[in-house]
Amino acid sequence: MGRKGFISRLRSQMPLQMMVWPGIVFMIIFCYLPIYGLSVAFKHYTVVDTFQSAPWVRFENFKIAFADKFFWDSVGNTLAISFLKLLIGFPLPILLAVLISELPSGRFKKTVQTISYLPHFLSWVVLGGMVINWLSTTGIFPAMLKSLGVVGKPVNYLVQPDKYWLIAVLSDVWKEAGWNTILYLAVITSINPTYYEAARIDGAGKLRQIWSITLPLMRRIIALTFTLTIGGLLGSNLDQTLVLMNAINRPKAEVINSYVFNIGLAQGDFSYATAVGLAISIVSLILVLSTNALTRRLNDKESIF
Amino acid sequence: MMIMQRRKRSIIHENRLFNTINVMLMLLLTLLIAYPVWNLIVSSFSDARHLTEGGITLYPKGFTLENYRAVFRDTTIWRAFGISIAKTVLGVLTHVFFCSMVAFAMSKRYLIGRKLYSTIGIITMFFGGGMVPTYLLYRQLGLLNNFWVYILPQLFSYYDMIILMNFFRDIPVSLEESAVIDGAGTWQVFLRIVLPLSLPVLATIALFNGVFQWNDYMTARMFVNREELYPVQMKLYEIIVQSQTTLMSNPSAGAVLPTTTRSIQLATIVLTALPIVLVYPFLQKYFVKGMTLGAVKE
Amino acid sequence: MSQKNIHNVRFSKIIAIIVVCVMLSIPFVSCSNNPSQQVDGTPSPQKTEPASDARYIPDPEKPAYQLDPKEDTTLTWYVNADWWNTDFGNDPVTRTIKEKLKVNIEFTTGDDTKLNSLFGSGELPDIVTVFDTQSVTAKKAASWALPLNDLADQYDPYFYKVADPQTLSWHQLEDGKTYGYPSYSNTVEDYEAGWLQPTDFFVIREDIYKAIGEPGMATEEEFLNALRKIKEQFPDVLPLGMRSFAGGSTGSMGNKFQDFLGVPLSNEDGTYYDRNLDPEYLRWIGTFNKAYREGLISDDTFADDNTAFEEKVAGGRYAAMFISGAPQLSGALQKNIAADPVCKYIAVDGPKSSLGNEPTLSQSGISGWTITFISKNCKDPAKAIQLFTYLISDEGQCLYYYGVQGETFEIDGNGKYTILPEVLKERDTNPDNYKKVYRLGEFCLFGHDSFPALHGKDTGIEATRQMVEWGKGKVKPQFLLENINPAEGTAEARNLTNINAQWATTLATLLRAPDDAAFDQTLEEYKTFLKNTGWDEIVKGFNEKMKANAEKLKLN
Repeated sequence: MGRKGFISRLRSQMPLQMMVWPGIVFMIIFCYLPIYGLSVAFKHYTVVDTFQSAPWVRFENFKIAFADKFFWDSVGNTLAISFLKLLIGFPLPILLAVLISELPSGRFKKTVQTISYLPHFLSWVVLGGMVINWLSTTGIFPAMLKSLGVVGKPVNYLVQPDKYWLIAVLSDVWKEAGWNTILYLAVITSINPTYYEAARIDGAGKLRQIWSITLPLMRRIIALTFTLTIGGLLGSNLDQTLVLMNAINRPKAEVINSYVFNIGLAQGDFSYATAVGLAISIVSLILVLSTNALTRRLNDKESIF
Repeated sequence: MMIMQRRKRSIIHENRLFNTINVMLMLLLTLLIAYPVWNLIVSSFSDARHLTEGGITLYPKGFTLENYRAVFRDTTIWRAFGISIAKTVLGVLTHVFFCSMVAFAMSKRYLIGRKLYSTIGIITMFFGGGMVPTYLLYRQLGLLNNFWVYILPQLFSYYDMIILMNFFRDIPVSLEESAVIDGAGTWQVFLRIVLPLSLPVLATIALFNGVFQWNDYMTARMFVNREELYPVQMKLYEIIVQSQTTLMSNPSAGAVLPTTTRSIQLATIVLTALPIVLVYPFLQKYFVKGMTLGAVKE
Repeated sequence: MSQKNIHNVRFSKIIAIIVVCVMLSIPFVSCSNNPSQQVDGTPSPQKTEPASDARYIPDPEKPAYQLDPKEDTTLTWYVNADWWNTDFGNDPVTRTIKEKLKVNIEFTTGDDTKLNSLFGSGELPDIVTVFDTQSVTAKKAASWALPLNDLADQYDPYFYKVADPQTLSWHQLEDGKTYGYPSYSNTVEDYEAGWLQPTDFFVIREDIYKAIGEPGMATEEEFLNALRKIKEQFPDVLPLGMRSFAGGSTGSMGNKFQDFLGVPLSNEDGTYYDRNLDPEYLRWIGTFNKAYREGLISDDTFADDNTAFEEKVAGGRYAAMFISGAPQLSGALQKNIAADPVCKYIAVDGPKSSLGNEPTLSQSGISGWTITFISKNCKDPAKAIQLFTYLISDEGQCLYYYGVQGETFEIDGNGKYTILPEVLKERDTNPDNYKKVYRLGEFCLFGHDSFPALHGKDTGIEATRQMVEWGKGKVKPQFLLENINPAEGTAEARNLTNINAQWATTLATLLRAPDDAAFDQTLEEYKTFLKNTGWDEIVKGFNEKMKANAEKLKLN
């Protein structure tokens, strides 16, 4: 084929282009049109204001947020919890998905899968109450530790600030790990079984098969979820925080979401919340793009976007 | 020969060990998760008095169906079920189709303007105007108090599109090429080759979106006033919130009510999760290994 | 282009066009589906009807709704809370409102975000109720609501006969006019009349109290001894409990306990007094800390959320406890009695100030709980102010609490109002249905405790009856301290939020201090924190507002 001109290339792609354009139109209407709402970050905006009436304050809201020592404390807590979640909660669903997929087919496998994602449906209002119950001095957790001989008398870890991060992370992983396996399972089940056949004939055991076939073929999806998880580092679970946080563990429990909620929204100060949200969005985007640039090398120079 | 046999035997051992450990691990995991969930289910069948006293472990105390009756007592809940089912089915079908359509095009590296489209999309994943401009937009579009507010804004999600796109890229190009040679057009390739080969990921997106549609009450709360358009979740939210007001205006009710706000919450969680749990087995068949490429000729 | 390609392009074109058309046609399709949608959302306020076109002549001696000939007005009413029951016309209370005032009310509910959307769209409903009488919404009412004074003058002078003048003047804005009317606004007279019930108590299980010999618990020695005896004789019970510290609140040990001890509300000269640092109060906190060190207070108390606390109350797990907000706990208290009447909680005098200060238990102040406005958009302000007048009047109060005579209540020989026995039975056995069918005690947006207190026969619940008795006469007004918080969105407001959160943490840490040195250090750290977080500026703001309050109260 000779070098075609741009127009004729475009013309030959028309069916394809027309498949994308509705998506673009959608995004313009539903995502870009409302984006003027971000201007609230640069205004002094309260409940009674409209976008036109609220006065411009330029970068005031940002200055206020960034000069606030407690804001940075909450950033520290948020990052700590997010990193722990990454460390513990990111590999676990991958491991689980592989293990579940290797289970012999049948009722046991289906039951395990179903049960694993049930906690996803619990609301934090209820789950938080359950956690408080389990961790109380009369709850099962201290009782378990005592019977294992780890501690002398039952201790309530919710009143120990330095344990908060672990409590928050472990309870969240318990809740979401099963649900997060679903996406990985979808990828695993799409792997051509002839690969495994060939490996078996060549004398590879299960472990070798997983290492050489399953995991590499999950590379792309793992890179995707990893990148997006990095993008969510500055976020946190407001519902969980509001239930598990108390006056004693607050210094370690206050995250960006809850702090902004108390300072901003609870007082009808939308500007503060929007400004912080905007700053976080920008940082998250940068994180995602950088991670993408890094993981690209592992993915044959192909961006997941 | 002997070496191969020995090797084979050791591999069989290795596999058996692996399987045993795997099964045991999964059993442990299941128990770890199942116990609290079972506790929750059992609590939802217990009456308020025993619930507040605590101490329920493996079986209901003061067995009662009151918590569930509190939900179904309101006969408008059936209409709400209808709305929920309609919005979930319609929403999921349109969402999956729309997203995969865009994803298919975006999966082609030769698509002109791909980088531009991609930039437009990524930005939407991180920046949004917020509730109020959205409210004003819906108002202008006439989506307020309208069933389509559940469907239209959910047509497309760039995040879901990325997942689908990455998946489509893994489909061997040779399959498409041979189809084109056989005379297939773009849409035929999409509908007859790519989609059938992507059932697991389509099922996944359908599941995610379905769960979202089923659980969503914020849309109704912000954008809908008419009771006839409320989905089940909105009704359940109202019931929970109303149970708090019963106590406010009528403190003595707290003593006689066989339900508390907490007990009703437990029942609503079970009711919310139940349809998903019932529907999931139908989707599970798409998660069977190798089913997709079974009919493919290499 | 090949045949195939043309075919494809056409196909794609068709799909694309269909999709775009569907999306663009929604406005047209939905308009016809949506009869209740406002046609034009421009924010131009309706002009109030000029006097010359008046439907009726207002009469200062008669409520205007009795004079207004107009049938069938529809008013939209927004309540800024999710739990509000939007039903109208199906129960005796709202049905009567509908008949007497010839009005149909459409309620909408929502939260601050929804409210803001309504402001943004320029489609404010006719009547708006919010729950914070000090919020920006309330304070800036002059920009979006109609002044009640003007409306009363023009349409319903009888309003002045039912609205309390102290309340009206307390809620005046800078232009001297009042825009919103609150519910549960208790004035000086209300406090002096003595019928206000406190909601905070120190209670102890009756059986335990008797078993340890009903000791006084007024001094620190007595208090600790009593707790120690409880621990000896009743090892399964937690000796002392308090309301949860969840969400960073001080539960019942902050200003509620200060009220108990009668910590002064202000300095002699009317300036701000930091009650948190009152020496008497801190000495008692030290006593509780000693109790904690002796194992008389459990760590769970600090970690529990509200639900867990209620569980303990219903199970009688605490021997003695400080409770605040008793009405919300009445369910749990009743359950406790139902399980075992002997374990009933009774209120006792408990800790007393060594300076002999009387308790200053607090109740809803003059600011009230909710506040309702008539917006500039209101299509029929005359009807709206008539509605206000009716609901505030004795007739409206009676309707709210008791319903319709003969249908839901009766007046007995002593002139006391009682709810009919069959209605009461329904209330006690089938509360959900009672709510739907009768809806007594729910339409609270203009409620005021005076009516049932003065006219009703006591039908209180058993669990709190003794407590209420104990509390009579102990409620004192705290008007000087109302609404002194800095304006929202200011640096002082943010600092104050952080200071309050830090105080809750400090208080909990003090209670759990392992020894005296740690106790003192925590306190010192808090004082330094105050200094470093702009406390002086905040106090200046407090003083200014307290002075303004004093002026307002003197004018009455």
